[in-house]
Amino acid sequence: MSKQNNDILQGTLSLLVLRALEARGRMHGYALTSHIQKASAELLRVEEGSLYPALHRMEQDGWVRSEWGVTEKGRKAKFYSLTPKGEGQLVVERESWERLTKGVSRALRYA
Amino acid sequence: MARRHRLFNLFGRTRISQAIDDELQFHIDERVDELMAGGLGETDARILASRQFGNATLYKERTRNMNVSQTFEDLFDDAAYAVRSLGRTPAFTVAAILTLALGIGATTAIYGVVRTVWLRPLPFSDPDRVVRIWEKNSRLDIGKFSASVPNFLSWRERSLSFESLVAIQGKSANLTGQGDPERVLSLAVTAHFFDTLGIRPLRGRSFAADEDAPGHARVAMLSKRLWQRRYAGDPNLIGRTIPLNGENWTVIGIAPADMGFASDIDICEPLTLDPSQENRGDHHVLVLGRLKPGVSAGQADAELTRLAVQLEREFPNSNRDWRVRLAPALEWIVDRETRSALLVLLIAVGLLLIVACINVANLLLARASSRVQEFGIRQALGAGRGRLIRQLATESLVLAAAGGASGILVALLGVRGLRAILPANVPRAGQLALDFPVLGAAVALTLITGLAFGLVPAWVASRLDVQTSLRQARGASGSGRLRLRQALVAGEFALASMLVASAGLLLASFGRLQNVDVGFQPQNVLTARISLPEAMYSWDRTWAFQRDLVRELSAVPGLQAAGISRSVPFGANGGSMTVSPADDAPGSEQKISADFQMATRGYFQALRIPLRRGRMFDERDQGPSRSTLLSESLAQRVWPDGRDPIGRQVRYGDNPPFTVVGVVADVRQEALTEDPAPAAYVPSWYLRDFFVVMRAHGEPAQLATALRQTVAKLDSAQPVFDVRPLADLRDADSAPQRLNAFLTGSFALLALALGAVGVADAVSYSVIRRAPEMAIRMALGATPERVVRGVTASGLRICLIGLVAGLAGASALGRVMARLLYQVRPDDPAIFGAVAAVLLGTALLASWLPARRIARIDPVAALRKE
Repeated sequence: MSKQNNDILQGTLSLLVLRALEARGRMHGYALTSHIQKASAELLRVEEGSLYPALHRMEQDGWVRSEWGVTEKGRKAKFYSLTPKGEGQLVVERESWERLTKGVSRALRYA
Repeated sequence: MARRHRLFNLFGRTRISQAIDDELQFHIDERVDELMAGGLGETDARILASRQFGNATLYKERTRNMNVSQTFEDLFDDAAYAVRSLGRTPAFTVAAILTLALGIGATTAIYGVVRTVWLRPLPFSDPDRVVRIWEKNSRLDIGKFSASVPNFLSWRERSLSFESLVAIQGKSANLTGQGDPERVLSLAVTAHFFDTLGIRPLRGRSFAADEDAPGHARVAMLSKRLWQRRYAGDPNLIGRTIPLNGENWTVIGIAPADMGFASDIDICEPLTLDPSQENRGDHHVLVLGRLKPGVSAGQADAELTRLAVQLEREFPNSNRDWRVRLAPALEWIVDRETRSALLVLLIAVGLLLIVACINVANLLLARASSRVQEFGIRQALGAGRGRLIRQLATESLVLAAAGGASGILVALLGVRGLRAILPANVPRAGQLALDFPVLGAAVALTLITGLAFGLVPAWVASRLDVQTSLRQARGASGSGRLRLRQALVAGEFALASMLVASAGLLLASFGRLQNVDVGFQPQNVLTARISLPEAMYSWDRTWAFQRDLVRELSAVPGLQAAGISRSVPFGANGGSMTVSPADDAPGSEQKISADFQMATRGYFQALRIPLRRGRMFDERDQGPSRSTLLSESLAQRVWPDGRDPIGRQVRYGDNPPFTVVGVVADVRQEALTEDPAPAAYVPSWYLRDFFVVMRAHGEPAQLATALRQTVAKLDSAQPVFDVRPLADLRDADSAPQRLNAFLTGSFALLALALGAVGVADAVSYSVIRRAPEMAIRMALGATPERVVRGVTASGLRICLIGLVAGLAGASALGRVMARLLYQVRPDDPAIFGAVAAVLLGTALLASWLPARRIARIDPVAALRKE
């Protein structure tokens, strides 16, 4: 629907999700939001409204796979993990992110 | 891969929704736990968690959209929603579907006719290279004429442009054998006919190359129709013989039902061309040719014209000023009048379809206005604007689909009806059916109409904004929408006016055609044909038969007069002859082409053709008499100086001279639209294939039995055929005009009704919208009459704009129609005036009826609503 509004965000979001799954392995959605929040020193807050559509899209694209499991508290939850294709995507997105930030900071410095 | 997965998911929607619910619920539960761990009570934690989570429904929808192919999913959703929502307003839905069904159905049926008659390729191989070749003579004012056999043979010998040339001649024969004797129509063709056109026989074979040589065995092909009708499709008939004109002919094959032309023929026989028996000036064969690859029709025309000039030099007596004219076969079979008529019908029905679309768009617009609140709520609940527009477009498409499906039913009925009323002289109409291309066109029409009228409400929705639409659930919203509706109504009325004006022109033209004075009285006259076989009837026996027949008939009760003739007005079998005064030197340059009619005294009495001078034929003029009658216009042309023609002599072709005994009134022989041709009459002469014309005291059909009995008494082996009232022949001549006027008139009436509904609708809409304003005005002292007048005038204004535009459009359309109009100018002021009066009357009624309701408004109630 309003996909175009948060295209940039979404690109960043998938990078963050991929990276979190790389670092921590299998995680459910809630853990992903807490992890990203903690890892970014509370600077970033993931909107649930964006996270789940993003997760499902990434699954459709074959970057992550999901399975239903049970948490330590005994709750049924959907766990996500990285696929080989997702690992490749992470490399791509990380590179483009670094290129972007480098470029932006250079531009900010010298322009 | 992923796509397929998503498509697949389409069918597991509930399961997926459930899974997403579970996943999101888990997220909220986790948050609740965390909040409770932070010291909140469970209730507060739940409320806070939900609030933090935000619009769960929207997220769920978004998440789900990632899983299923959105387009399909939404289409399902939208379509289901559309059906539900349309079901809630059955009156609107039925009205819209009916309107569309009429529009789409009528357009499909007419397109079916246009395709069958005009667009469908001829059943020839490579049909574009088949041409018809006429002879023409500008000095004799002959634009298109059959060719003479010697000329045809010269072309075939000398021309290089054609792969082959074939000659065709219509004949008829008496078919006997098992069953009743009957008269069959025969197409006599040179042997290469089937190969040249690329028509394959249905069974058996066509003619071998030498089967048209003189003295060859008698072989014939049967039409599929005759084969099935008379011989029950017996496959063993091929190789057997059938008796034609008392001689045995071997059946060698069955011709296909559709040969592109001559769809009414019963048999095909070889046409034997014997130059020693033919006169170069006797033009009586139809010539078709197949162009060589790479040769254009224009080049062939140029070559044949050069040949014609050559032949004129070689045969100055017979070929003076004779040239050729060449046209693609389709242009010959589907002539210009037919094509113009089809074009006008197609335009008319297209206009009707547009009017129908506008009407439905208007209905949808009105519906959209009353649904503003619904859209507002859906928007507030998270439906995107794009989604709303798509929703509306889907509703339109669902409507269009229902309209299209019903339209195909209408088209089926329409085609059945058209098959019954299409005049026999419309070429190729026999194969009229709704085939796949036509149905495809119906589907395309449905989609186009759905999108066309669906755009309007979608446009409205695109301008919606949640806040205002919620606030302004009703009332003064969207003056733009009002203007749009007025524009639509004006456009609708313009198109309806165009149609009504066109129908008015066609109707007036048909009316004038009905009132044409044909020069005789066709009412109460029965015509029939008899063809005596040469083998059994010498000329003496023929004259005796005719004399006895007329004598026996005059004793029949209810009969006023009976006569014999070579042809009847508006019937086939006419012929022409050059006429010259015999008192001038032989070979006089003054040659006039005239209808050459052979007729007994009874013919003039039965038709009531008045005698102007001199005397009628009488007993002296039996058999090969040398008396003749001239029509007034012929006498005038033979002796332009006004000399009394009685007693003078004229020469017909190269025959010995005839003495003029009388002058009769002019008669329209060929067509209602053509001025009477000059005509020469000789008494029944050398005529074995003839008409019997009988005037009855009342209904002419009653004479048919008496005629059959009388003929059977004289010779029981002779069939009586083509028994038809003369009035039918006359009506058949104007049947295409009648059909055109009828169809265009029906379309116009429908369009006018739809236009009126549109106007009334727009006026009542503005009545509702402006009720508070009117209430204030009435509270301030305006009389209800005045307010009603004001609203009526506003409706009329819209119509006037439409009317002016429509009449301008009609006069443009009139140019296309000019060829179809008889004694009516395409901008005839009287007709346009009458049409304008009808339209204005309708507009007044359509505006005033709903406006009247204003007077019944209770000002207090109306103001309170604000």
